[in-house]
Amino acid sequence: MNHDYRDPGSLISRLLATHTALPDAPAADGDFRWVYIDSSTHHLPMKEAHGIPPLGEFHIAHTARPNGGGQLNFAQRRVAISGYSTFTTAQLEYEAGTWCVPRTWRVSTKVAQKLAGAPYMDSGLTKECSYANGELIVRAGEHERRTRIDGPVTCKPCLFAVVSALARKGEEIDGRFTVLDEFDVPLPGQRLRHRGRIEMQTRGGRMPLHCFEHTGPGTVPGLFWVTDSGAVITYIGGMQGLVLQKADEQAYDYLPIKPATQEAAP
Amino acid sequence: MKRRDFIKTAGLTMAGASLASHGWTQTAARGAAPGGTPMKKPNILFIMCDQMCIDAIAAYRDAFQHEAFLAHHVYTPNLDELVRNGVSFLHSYTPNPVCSPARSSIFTGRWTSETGVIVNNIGIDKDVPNMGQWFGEHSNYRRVYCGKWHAGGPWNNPTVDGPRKIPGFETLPNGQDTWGRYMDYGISSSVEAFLRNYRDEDPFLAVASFMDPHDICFWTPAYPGRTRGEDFFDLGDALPPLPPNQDYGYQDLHPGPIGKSAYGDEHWRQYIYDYCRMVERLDANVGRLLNAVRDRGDDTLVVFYSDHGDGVGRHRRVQKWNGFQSDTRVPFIVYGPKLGVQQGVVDQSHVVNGVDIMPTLCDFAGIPAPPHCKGTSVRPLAEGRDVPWRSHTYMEMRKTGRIIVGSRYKYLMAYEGVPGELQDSTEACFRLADGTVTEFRPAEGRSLRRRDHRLLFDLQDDPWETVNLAADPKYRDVVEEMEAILHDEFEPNIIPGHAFTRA
Repeated sequence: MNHDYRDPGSLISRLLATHTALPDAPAADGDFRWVYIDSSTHHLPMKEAHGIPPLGEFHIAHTARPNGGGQLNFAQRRVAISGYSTFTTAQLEYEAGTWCVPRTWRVSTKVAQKLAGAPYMDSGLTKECSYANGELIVRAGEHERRTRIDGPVTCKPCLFAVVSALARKGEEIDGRFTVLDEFDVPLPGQRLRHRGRIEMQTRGGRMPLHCFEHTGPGTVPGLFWVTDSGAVITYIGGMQGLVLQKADEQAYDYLPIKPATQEAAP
Repeated sequence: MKRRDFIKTAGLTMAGASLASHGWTQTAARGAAPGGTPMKKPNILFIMCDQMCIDAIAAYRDAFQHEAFLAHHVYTPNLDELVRNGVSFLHSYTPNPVCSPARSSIFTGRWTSETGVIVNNIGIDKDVPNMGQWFGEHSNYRRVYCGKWHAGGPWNNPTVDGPRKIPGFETLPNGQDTWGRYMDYGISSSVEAFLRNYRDEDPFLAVASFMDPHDICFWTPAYPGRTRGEDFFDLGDALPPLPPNQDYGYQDLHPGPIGKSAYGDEHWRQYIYDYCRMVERLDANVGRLLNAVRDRGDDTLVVFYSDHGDGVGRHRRVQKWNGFQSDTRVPFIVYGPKLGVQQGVVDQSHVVNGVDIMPTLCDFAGIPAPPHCKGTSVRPLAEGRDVPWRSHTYMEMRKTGRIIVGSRYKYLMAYEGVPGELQDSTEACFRLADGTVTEFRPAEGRSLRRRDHRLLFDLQDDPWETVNLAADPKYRDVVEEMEAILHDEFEPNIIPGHAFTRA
């Protein structure tokens, strides 16, 4: 899609100007609770024009630890068919440092009508994972798989915490790492680059946004757009559009993570 | 290739084709080894993907040495492992280079004129049994389908019940829409869970039908042409080179879906770059399934195939629809180390086709292939047995197009049709010599009005299909041979779908 931020007709320009509800900044210690609509970049213009519902939601909650590390909780719903959805939930502890390198985490997936519902047709699965001393361990039931990984490792949802912290600190980056696709499959050779602090027209008015570019194997190039205060207001990449939403407790009541109250955008 | 050689080697392929019944009676499984039925039926995992070119697997770098081939630009450790531990076919073709028609053939073993699905968004003729129905009638396999179907009508993803349920399969529901970015992890995670949790006595036939790298289809409308400013990504040396056949000096058989000059060089290279990343997403999802198969520790058979390829900028084409190698040549891998399938064999001798999937799975399951099946089980090839094999295979495209391809030459022709060759309609679209419009009548193939323009490529000397030899007098014999193969060997055995009832 057209990522040209200087083009007022591009998706990113229109999206920032019309959709983004500016959230509260993360707390001083970096805690945040955010909810995104998860929609294809084709759906976003249609949503704008016709009110077409999104393809799912993505929740992320961050709790800072005194040692500089933190805990991340994720819940993602991808709308399926026949009233079902694919749910992914994860709880992850990461260590202090730029890349939020995960130490232990648990990821569960299932096809169900509700998050609390029973898995449809043997579709429920939980993996217990850990990473230490350059070794990734993924356990599924009685089976265990070990993989050596060189260099920094992180999960794609952890990048939200990574770019949030970088923006809050005003730090730039051009670094390489391995990403764990959906928490369990390593994809080496990833690159995260700070592409600038760019004045953009948002729904909340003109403001500077940090732009971070993510590229690498298995990653159709994507951009995180982040406020100075560290709020990741949108991610666009690989036909995926994640757009931070105004809190709506009732709309997201079926998910375990309750978003923080946010101010409506002007 | 001499005509007599084709007849000699094609005998097995054509056997049984004269059976007249349209019912679901049993016939002998083609290519099945005598006594080849295993003691215990193996579990079967059929992994389908959408729009993947054959050269988009890193393990094929030796076979595709030119730097513009995708093998040099992808990271596919899981597909590599399938190649290195199974048997894969390099002369592997789709039955039809577009989704619904190809899928209708893959899941029935019949040509698209027979399934009635000659263009997208049409349902398989209900008198032609699909894989799930056939296995249900002839075995105790539990049949589970997850992901894209797109052979039932103007929809992609099957529902749990109702008119959008695939006959013969249970549905593991997934996907509200056709985006690999959204569907495919749901497919891999839920099918992985099924593979890990399934403990019943009955064997299973599980289909994981991924969308990727089909997401590239949406790249074109997303980049309608050069944008007003500069795009933001600066991928530099990471961008793959342009293919060497972007400029070629002959008239196409069909127009492409976009104008040839819509993109600049950098856009073409970004298109190819993004396509490679989508293949890598697919690879990660395949990896989850392979890990689950390995952890089962049983004799599960894995077959990997793509419905068709993608233009990937070759001949300045995007998406599919065309008869070029990029659109028609697809990966076909058989993996079953505990079932006697050889390991690490990259077969460059045998010409295979998506219609071979159905009889192959039947063969491994120990059940007969369906009547009038046009494919042949590749099981003997996978096991390293020396069996007679076809020298050429057949494809249909865009309703009226026909392709004959062997290991050296590829011939493309088209009957004269009415406008709307890409429209989702099966209305009569062929013209007879007198100008009247008709549906396809194979016995009258020679009397259908044909376009004068044809294409002939020497795939050995010109793998990028840059020179059309069809009008070269030196190749008149080859053209005549291809015409004879088309009209004498393939078309007379087609039982056109319009004789059946639409689903």
